[in-house]
Amino acid sequence: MAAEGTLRKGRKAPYGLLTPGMLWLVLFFLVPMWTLLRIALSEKPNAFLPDYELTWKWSNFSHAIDRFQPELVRSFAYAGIATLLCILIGYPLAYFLAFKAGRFRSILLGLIMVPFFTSFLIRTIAWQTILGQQGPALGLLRALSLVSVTDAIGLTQDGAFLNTPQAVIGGLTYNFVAFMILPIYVSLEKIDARLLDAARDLYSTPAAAFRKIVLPLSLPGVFAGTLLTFIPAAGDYINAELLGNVKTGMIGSQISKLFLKESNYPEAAALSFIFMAIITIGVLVYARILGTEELTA
Amino acid sequence: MTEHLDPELAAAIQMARRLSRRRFLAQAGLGAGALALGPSLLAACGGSSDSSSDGSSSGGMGDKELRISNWTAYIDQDDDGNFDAPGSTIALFQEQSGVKVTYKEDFNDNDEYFNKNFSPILGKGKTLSADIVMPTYWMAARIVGLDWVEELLLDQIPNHENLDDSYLDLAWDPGAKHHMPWQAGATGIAYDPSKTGGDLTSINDLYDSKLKGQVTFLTEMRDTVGLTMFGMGADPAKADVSDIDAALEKIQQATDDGQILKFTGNEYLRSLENGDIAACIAWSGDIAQLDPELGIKFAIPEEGGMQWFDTMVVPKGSPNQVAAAKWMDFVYDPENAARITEYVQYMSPVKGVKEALEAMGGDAAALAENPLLFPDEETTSRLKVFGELSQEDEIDIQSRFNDITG
Repeated sequence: MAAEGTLRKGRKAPYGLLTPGMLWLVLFFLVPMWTLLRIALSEKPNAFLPDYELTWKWSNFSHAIDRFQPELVRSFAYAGIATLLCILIGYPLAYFLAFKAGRFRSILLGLIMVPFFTSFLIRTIAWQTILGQQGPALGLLRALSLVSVTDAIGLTQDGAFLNTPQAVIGGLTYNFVAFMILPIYVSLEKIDARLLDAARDLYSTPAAAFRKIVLPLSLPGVFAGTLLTFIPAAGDYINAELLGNVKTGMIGSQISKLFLKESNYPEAAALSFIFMAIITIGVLVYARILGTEELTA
Repeated sequence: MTEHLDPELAAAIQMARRLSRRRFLAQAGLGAGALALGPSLLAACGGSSDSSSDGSSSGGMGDKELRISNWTAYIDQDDDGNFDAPGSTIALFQEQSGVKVTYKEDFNDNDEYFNKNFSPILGKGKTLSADIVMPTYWMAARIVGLDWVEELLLDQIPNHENLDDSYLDLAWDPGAKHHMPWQAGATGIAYDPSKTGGDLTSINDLYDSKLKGQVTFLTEMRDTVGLTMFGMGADPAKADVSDIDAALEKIQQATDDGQILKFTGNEYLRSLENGDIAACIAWSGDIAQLDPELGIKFAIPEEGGMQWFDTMVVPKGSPNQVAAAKWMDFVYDPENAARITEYVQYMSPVKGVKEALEAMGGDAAALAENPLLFPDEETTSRLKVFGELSQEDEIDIQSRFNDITG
């Protein structure tokens, strides 16, 4: 009886330890979400006054979708391309770090992180200078007379890097690539080297060993990296504002404009909600497809 | 917003002070926008904001302290950014009046300030944590109309008579009893002659396909729409809605055609300096502060330019109205006004500043001859203030404009 009692107590302890986390979630996630949803369904009788009426105005949602469809599509397209580029750049780099870097591993890992000690904004503003008409990037291309080539392959537009969709996607890739490298590196580094020895003993080619052992074992890292890259990239608008043009606006700046320029809080809240809903659904579908039991189990 | 800024960014801005007069962060949505959503949402939920205190809106006649919220780089300060360095306007005012001044550069953007402070705080009958704020004229007109502004204690501001006459007959505040202009400026066109291949004189030059994709316009609706209206032969001072519609259509067309590269706040300065654009709509004061060696030119288009001004108002319920009156009286003394003009290089609404600058000699005297600060009469006659819009029209026009600016 007594033993059973302590056992039961022991089972409850983990729940007790969860309390701070749960409180955090309720206070900083559920309550704001609830407020946001309420505003999204409200009406502002007078745009200049701070009062709302909860009128269950669902048309805030349909109106927001109608009006901002291009920006929604663009945000996800840019973030998707940037994420793909991050995988293409990040995976080989992480692979090299995990298996080939040897004693330089920690130095190289540090070097990857160094630029990120500078603020996000400063880094993006720096790209304006680098990509500008008088910047080193175009200077090099001009010196090599390659501008027409880069124009033809779509890397530049009319001889300009800056203020193009390419620059926005490049900026997003640059700013988030570290969040791709690190999770992949961690999952690769965990791989038991003896598995690869065993594969070799069984006459597997290196390519087959990579395909059948390394790649599946590193997928959780790719999955985590994708989340860490795609979600903030889709919501980012600094890159679009600083490196893009009038046709590269992303959803973040539209939400901000609705709030701050038009005083239209209900529609801004509705748009935020739509954006979050799409991301959540997307992530769930992605998790399904990638089959990351390792991550969730 | 300034206190939320990343210290590094604050330092960078400090360095770029000469270039980044104002609107830099806000219009780009840099930082400001990103951080703004949280607080404004919370404020909007009806909670009380930390920058407000409960209480009646009757206000008070305090004369011991004064809290000022202004745009960045909009008053004289030393190289380290100290507003109360010896000999500065604020230091001299504190000595002379015994009023303790708390000066903040937290006015980044009219709409942002409205939606984060004026509306959620004054709109709920609470008091702002500032005794003087400096909205642009149309925002001042809006909050005066909403009765969120105290009437000035004119009997304690004898220097009110130094206010330039042109400000005395504004429809929204005849006799300027609720506001005193801080600085004024003109919106025109700036261009790099080496890229445009000659001088630009008309606003329609920016719509010329020769400059396709090398032109930026401002995100400030009244500036961009107003100048376009001038180019179409309409009068922005009348603010006729069908004229505005036509202008919006023209801007939309130019955007679709790729004529307009993007819409900016004053980041256009960096683009001009870096040679990424050939011409843009620009604010006179920005160009006045540019390095002359760059060869960037500024012109008020022959069809007309937009005149604007930022103006001091006392928010409803301010407990320090006497101190505010003392301040306004002080900065409307031509000598004090000239010291501020020397630093900020905008058009002063105070009579006698030109003479005071001449008397100061040296660089200051040279400013008195600068047509960007003291335009001749012919230029002045071409400058107009955008007409008043009804609340409904304003919101409708602003939202359609936002759809164009992307």
